[in-house]
Amino acid sequence: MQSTAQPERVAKLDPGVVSSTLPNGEIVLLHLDTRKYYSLNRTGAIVWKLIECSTPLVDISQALFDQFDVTPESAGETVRDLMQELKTHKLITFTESESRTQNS
Amino acid sequence: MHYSLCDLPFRVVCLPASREAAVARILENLFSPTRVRRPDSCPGIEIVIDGSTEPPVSGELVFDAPGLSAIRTKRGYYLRSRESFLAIDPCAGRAEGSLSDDFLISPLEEQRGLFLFALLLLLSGRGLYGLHAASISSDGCGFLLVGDSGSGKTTLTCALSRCGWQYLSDDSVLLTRGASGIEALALGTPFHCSPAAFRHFPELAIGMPAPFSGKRLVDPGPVYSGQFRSRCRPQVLLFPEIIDEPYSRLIPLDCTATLLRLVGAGAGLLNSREFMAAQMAVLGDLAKTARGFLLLHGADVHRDPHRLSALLQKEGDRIDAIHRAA
Repeated sequence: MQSTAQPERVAKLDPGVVSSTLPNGEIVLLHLDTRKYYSLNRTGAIVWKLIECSTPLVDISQALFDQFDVTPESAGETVRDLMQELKTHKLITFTESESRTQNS
Repeated sequence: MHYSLCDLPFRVVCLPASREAAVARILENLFSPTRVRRPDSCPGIEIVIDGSTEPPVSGELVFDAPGLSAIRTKRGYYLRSRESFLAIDPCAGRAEGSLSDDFLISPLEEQRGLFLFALLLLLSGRGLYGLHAASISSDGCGFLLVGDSGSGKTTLTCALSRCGWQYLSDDSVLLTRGASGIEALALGTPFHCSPAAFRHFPELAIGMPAPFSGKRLVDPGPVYSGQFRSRCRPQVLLFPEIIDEPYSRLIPLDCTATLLRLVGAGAGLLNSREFMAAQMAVLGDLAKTARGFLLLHGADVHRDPHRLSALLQKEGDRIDAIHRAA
């Protein structure tokens, strides 16, 4: 068995974004530089909270799979689509996180 | 000159002092600050009019309208109106600049923009955030009418004032955290009346020179006597839209739609980036504690304002009961 270090993709919040979590579980975001504002539904809000905790993308997909009645592929697609949209609006950037040791 | 504005010590310095009277007239007519003889603390905000020459300014032009432009600079904002200017440092709570002779004798409507934006920027650094909204109250229940120009804020404020409601403002309020939650504070009392508003509410036109066009500032105090309130606790947030129907109606909004609309109204105002996060937190708390509605207002605003008044009071009573139970 051999150990390899796999860099993990992590989304990072843009420092110019502030958020407000509402009692219905949704989140409203305001970008202080562009002054544009957005809302995230409950699923998006769960993803946003995980991004705030620097959770690797692969673990965010796993969290959605665990919490909702969806396939792993569907959870992964949901996360990818949302990440792309958040990036387009300059709400997040991507970084490579600390490596995770994987046995092969 | 020392004032108290929204409970904050507010100092105005004029050099030469001969301009003091003209500047005091503008500020007192527009914002009704309370004169203070001996301030018991350092000024919370300060405006210094010193007649200096206009400095070279570099930055981003963030607002450009007839009669007022704003440049975002390293230290804050630079506001310009005609040949007058104010450099605003919101962190220091200080504005400094010069007013031209033309500016000092121009109509109040043309003087308002420069001072309103200056004060909004200065006050945002002291935890008071501007919102483009009218504010009224009934039986202690505060209502905000949040909307752009032309959405009917003045019309609704006048119609409900006629029905005996209390008013704070027909155009803009300050939001702040009070002991019992988010509070709305009045910033200036004059109503912004269009020719149409004067037609519908002729009591406001008494003493006004005619004919006129555009919006005029009118002191509603003598007309709706004893109905001014300096603050209220907003429990109902109304987003007015004019409809071509006989009767007004309310459509409930969820808290997300409510906050998005509040942020839209708040983010549009000039504001310093460093204070916008705190402003967002205040708007978020407001959206969580007050109930939002789309107010589609029809012809009954003019024909039967008491019907609209009853509709709103019923909702206010219901929400007040929920808050009391909680």
